[in-house]
Amino acid sequence: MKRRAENEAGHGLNALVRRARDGDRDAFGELFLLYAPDVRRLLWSVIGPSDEIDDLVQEVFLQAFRALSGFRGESRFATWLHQIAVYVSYGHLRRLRRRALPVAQERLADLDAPEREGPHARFLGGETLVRLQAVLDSIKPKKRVAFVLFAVKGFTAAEIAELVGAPVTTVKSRIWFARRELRKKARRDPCLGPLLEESEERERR
Amino acid sequence: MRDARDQRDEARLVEALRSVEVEDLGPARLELERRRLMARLAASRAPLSRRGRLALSLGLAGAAVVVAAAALLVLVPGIGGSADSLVTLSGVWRLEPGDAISRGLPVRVEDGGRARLVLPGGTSIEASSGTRMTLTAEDGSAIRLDGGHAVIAVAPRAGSGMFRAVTPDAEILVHGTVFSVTVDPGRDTTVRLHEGEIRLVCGGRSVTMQPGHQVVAGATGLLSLVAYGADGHGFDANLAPHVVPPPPLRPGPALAAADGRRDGIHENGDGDVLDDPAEDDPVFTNGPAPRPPAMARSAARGREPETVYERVAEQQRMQHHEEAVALTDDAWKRSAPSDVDLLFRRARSLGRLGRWAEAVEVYGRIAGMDRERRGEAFYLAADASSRSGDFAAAVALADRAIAAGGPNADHAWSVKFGALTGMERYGDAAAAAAAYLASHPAGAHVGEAHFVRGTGLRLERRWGEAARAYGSFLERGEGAAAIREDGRFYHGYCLLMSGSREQGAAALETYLVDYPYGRHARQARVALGR
Repeated sequence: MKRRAENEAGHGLNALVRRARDGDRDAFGELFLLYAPDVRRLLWSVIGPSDEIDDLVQEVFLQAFRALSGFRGESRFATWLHQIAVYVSYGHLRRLRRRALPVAQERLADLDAPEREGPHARFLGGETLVRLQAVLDSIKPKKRVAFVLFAVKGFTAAEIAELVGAPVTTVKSRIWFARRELRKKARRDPCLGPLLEESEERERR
Repeated sequence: MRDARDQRDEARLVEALRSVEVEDLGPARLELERRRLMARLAASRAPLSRRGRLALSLGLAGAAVVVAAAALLVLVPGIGGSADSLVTLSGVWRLEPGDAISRGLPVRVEDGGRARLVLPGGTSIEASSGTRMTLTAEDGSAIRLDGGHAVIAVAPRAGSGMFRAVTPDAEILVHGTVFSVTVDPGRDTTVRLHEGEIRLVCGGRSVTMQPGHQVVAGATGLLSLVAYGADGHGFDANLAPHVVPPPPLRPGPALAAADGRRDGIHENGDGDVLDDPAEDDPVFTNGPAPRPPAMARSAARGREPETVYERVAEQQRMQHHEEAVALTDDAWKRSAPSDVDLLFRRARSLGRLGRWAEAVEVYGRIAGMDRERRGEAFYLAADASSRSGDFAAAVALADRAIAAGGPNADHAWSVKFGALTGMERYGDAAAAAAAYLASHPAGAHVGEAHFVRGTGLRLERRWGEAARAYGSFLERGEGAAAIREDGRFYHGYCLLMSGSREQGAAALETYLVDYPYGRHARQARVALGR
């Protein structure tokens, strides 16, 4: 982060990207140090907890290295990396769905569910998160990614459209359908459904 | 009514998703990951310049015209004249040697037959009777195996390109190597490794296999990891005649002595459950130089093996933190300067197990052992204390890390802000943030410091200054989504309260557009008089 700030301040980033584009692996290593934490956070949000997260980060940067000659600087380097990360996420999520294994429980086994206090404590418990992740796993990758980027990561529809290479209207419809699917599946879920009803009851009172 | 319920439910679900916190890479781990990337890049080609890409594209286009007619995806040369034993799954037509198999077309080897496929890139598959498979990548880098038995000799691929074999139970990731797969549909997948190294992913977990290992994977996860071929039995000499059977397994006394504990040396047979933490590590030895998998891997990469360190790293990579802690017990008792790296790993695993107080103790010991890494140890101890909820200790340790200087001092400030906020000492946090901003104008946590300062000023009702602080935070575009959302709302709210009504209202309107179900949406609507 510190290096990032310094490089941006001195217009060093462009030089770093240029050097990496010319095949300078050390420069690319510097870019990795600057951007890997961001890419990792993005992947984590999009695909959920996974012990393959570091491998996926590596995959993003390997693909970036191969495609670097095509980077023309029309978008920010970070945005360009995020685009690659989104496509790597698609591939990973499709593989998960193809395997159709009970992965959510495994993937969340080492998730440190934060302890919460207050009226929503039960809703934020570890079991709920496991079930919620399983519901997300059942939503198709394109819809899921658009929804998570919008609702969890706080991206705007226009920003997501740039990342996923789709029109804004398409992104909005993906988000809309993902929301509907998430609500429907969560209400039908034997663990999430009662909790949602319980929250509503509590709020009525 | 229905809409309101939808909104409430969605808000709950989104709130739950936001509560999943990402474990950030620390500086040391980030550096390790960089080295891993560099090692993988070293095996790949340098990216071509734009001019090079243009030349290559023109060359390829020309070549494509010449070879278009011969552009076969898969060649079927056949074995022993039995090429006609390979038929399509539907049984509608037979394939002749040299026929192309398109991606996605399922093929089956006829009962009693045997076939050899050569994929683009040189990977060859020798499949026995009844084997069903599908090529899933046009470049020959992936297949799906639905049933039967196949020996796969994967040609090394450039760069990070991996060969991927997917079965109903597992996913096998391979560089150059030779392995066999037997898929019993509806039951399990058995993978045997003859050469090289492969990674098998099953049920969200992965295991790295060494030559001589056999893994059985079922729909419920990894079932067993055993050694095969102790006496040469079970080795597919017929299907892979070019592979020399592994030497018999034997106990590895050198390994056990080196680590001062008994390592699991498993014989042929069943019962060695991989994922049972009560079991010893699944270590196997082949021939006269017994090595645990991690050592063999490190040797293959050309690095000097560091026995215990490599094994601890391997356990941590597999998220087996109890085992990692157990492996570092000796280092903890010895506390020799040479054990500092191991102790760092011990502390990390203790943290992952939620044993924060013990982690802090380890970092404290490291700080006393190694002057050069004292700053790092204090910083990590501060972070561990903060996570354990001992904010007062976190502040004290962060101060020591800041005093020690070095690259971690910058991050220690961040821990200090968080700990002071955790104690609800917002004024002190804001003062610390102001001190940081004055002393670290290009620091890594400038954005965070602006936010912390904004919070302190807001609580003192110094609206104008708070709005400017939040504005500076937002300009940097940093921070987690939840913090950015807070920043967006409070920026607008503070502007409104400071008297800049138009600017404040505009900021809150924009906030509501982007976060219609945000945590502050209701407050924003109230502030806007709706």
